[in-house]
Amino acid sequence: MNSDRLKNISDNQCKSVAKKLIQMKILICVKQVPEITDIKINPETGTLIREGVDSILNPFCEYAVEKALELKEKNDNAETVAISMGPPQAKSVLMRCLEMGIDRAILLADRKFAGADTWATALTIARAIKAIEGNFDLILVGKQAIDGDTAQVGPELSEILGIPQIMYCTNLDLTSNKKKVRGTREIETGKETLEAKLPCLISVSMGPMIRRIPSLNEILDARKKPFKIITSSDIDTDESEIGLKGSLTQVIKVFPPQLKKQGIIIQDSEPADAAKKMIEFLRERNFV
Amino acid sequence: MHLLLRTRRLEVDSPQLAADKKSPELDLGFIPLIGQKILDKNISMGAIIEHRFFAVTDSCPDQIILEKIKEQIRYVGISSSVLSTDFGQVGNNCPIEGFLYFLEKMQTLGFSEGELHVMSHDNPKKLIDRKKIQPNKQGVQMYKVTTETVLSVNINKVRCITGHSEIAKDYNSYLSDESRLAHKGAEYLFFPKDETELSSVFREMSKRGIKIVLSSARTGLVGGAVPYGGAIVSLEKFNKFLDLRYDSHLKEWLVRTQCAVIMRDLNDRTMKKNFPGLTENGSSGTKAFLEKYRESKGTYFYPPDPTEMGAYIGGTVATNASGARTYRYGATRNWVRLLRVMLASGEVLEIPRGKYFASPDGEFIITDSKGNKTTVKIPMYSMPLTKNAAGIFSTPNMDLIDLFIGSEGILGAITEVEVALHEWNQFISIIQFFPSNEKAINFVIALRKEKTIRPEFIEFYSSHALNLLREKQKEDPKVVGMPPIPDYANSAIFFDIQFDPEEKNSDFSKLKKVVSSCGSNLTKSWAAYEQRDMQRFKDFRHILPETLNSIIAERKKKIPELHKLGTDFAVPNEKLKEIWEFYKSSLEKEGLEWLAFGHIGNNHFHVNVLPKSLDEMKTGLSIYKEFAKKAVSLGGTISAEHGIGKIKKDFFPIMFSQETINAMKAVKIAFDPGLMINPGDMFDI
Repeated sequence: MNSDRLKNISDNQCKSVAKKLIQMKILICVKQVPEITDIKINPETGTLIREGVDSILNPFCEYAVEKALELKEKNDNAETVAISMGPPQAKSVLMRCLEMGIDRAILLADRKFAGADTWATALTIARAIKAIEGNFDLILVGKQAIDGDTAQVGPELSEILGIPQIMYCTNLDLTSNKKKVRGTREIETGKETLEAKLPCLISVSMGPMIRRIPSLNEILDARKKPFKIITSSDIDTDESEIGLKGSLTQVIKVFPPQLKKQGIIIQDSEPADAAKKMIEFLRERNFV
Repeated sequence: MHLLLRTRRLEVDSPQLAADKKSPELDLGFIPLIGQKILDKNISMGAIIEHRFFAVTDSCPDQIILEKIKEQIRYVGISSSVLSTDFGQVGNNCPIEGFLYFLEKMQTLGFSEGELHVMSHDNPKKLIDRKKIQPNKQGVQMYKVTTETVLSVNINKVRCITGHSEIAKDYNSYLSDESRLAHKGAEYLFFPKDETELSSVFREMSKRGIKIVLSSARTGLVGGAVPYGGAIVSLEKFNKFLDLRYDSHLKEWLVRTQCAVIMRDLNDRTMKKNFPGLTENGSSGTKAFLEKYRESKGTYFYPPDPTEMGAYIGGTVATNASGARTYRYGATRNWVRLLRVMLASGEVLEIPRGKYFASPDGEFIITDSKGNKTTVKIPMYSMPLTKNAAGIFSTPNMDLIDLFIGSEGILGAITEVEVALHEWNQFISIIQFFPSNEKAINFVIALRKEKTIRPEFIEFYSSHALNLLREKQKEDPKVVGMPPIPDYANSAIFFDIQFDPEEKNSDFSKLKKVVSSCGSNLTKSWAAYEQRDMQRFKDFRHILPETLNSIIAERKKKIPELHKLGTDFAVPNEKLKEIWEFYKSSLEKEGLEWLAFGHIGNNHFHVNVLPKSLDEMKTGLSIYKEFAKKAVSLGGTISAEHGIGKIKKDFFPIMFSQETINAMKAVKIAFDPGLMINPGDMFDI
């Protein structure tokens, strides 16, 4: 065999190994949810009617994926891994992540995981991350799922893993030495920016207004990216800690939130204009 | 009169002779054999020519024969052609396989699915149906129909808004439709809630000599529902689902509804298998079918998709609506299985498909409940080979139902319809970008030839259309709802093909090849297969006409006489490039603002001119007449889908002789002697 060629191969291999070693690893935890416009609750049983309802990637999780891809572009092609726990059908939302540009995906699918509350979910994911991925630099999650609205799995996950967390970020970036992350979050009085050491968990509350559209090539390529399905036997855990048995809370009743009508803020700088608008508003409703 | 004339090709019938000649230029033509003059005469007399693909393939290469057959068909025309093979001999393919092989080959030679359907289904059916029209058991000939009486109610019980000022004040939207054509007022606005009330309105208006215009969702583009005085009859209360059943003979699911069911709801219900009205009020038979429908594995939908899904099903039937999916599934006509039509007399015709056919003399005899007979003579003319929405339908021995489909409501009010559903497959929507309009058109031509890729529809965005959307994105990206249109894109083709998201190794190599042969690649595309994203793609398509309408509405404020100029012409497949070049050079010569988009799969994209002044408008109008003439001269139609209504009447004589128009008028007069319904639509009498 040609020795030069051999040398080239080993050089390339060395480079790729070295790259892997210094490459940043970002994990994105995502959830499958029913499409919100279709949510209906069976009045008799109090459960969600899932018949004919499409399952989609939770929009806030999609924001987290967007942020991960942004970081990937800015930081020497960081490796991005999407993780989800759910039934085998949840594969479709991980596929959406891969189509958007995530490098590989892991699905935790096992009957024993079923019925998990937020705590059991966070614990299972934490164990899986430790067992399968080991080290990582950043975990991104969506601020909450649009079906349950609990916003608990992210914070619980960071507690279990013992890493810092910054919640409800609208923007984030790494510091120049890439040892820390800065997250900007909206709070009631304005904005605040927090800094945390890596590894760290960040929940994302805002993303692009317009959802990304992959090319046909990206959709076809996504189906060839690494996709791992993991069961309870792959992670170090006791049956009493996971699924329904490991859940500390229980859903007693599900009901749709009462819709509140959105108010209107009149923002005209001229008080006279603002007053006019207000009067108009009241007139339309026959208050004056 | 139909004449079956078989083209014999001596050389093919005698393989030895063909083998002896062995020349690729070998003339397999029919013309020398039977003589061109005789052939021309026969075609003009309505002869149907059988093009037979012989199972002699060793001695004479398929390709030469096939190309010769193509030439023959193009010579005699699709409407005069029937395809056949003589496969089935020992050592040859079985007849079905042989025929499929033949069809596939013809598709690669550029015949569209629709054209092949006409030659393999419709035309043979015409020949066979002739024999079927025999007196049936009761001795009643099937061109004789009797109308049903409908109980009458007191006209005062029908909800009615009286007086033009009252209508203009609170019911302004009933005075116009999507065409934005100026109305001429209306004195009454009726809201009948069932056939009895509708019948009373018809009888009363007929008695008082008041004209009526039928009003559905008013999504039409040619002013069909715009009142020119008299009464408006809104059919909006006819909005119930009536029945769902499986026809084991036709092997298809059928949905029956009243006319004002909204297209969007129809597809929503059928796809989600959820029919609340039927679950509660359906008959026990319906309920049993509903149960079976829910349990069936497939998903079903109603294929005709007129883009505007806010339309009523009745309106789409009255206009034989087509749209993007016509490319694959044909127009509305193909999916209608039954109609109930209220005639001007206030009596109802119920017409299942396949029951009433025109007599050999081209007549129907309608008998009313009192025994009065009316003879309707169908117009005899040859329809264009493209999809078509101009004029009253006509074929020899036609089904009565087809007379009403696409008649623009001038013959009566459609109150109920039964339509067939089709199985829904998983699709992927693709918007493929190209560096130029011409490359995109090349892609369409190449894609149609690639028989393994079967698009549901093929839609076009010209460079100017993309620019308009770019402008819109700059104003408000959210309205467009898509990422920025890439800078490299100078045109785009939007199409749907089957796709299984679970499949790891979907083979798109053919598509890849076709795309790259036209100067692009699959990374220069947008693709989506989730329902919600596919909806975004559809909206991205629908936003174009909406944007145009709003631009014109804005300009109208300054110059009220301005209106949109949009073509609705279609031409046969092989004329696509020619008509594009014609449009483009004519419009560029005049320096008008224009763009093109739409159903390029059927060679039916809409060219829209946006006039800025009355002068430009005049120029545009005269160019349009030229376009119409050109389209008709290429074997096309002046209205492929929008219909004629009140706006396109001027174009009517370009396509039809005065004799044909008179024959159509005679149909109208036979059904509506008082000329009460939809006056001024399609033609003036």
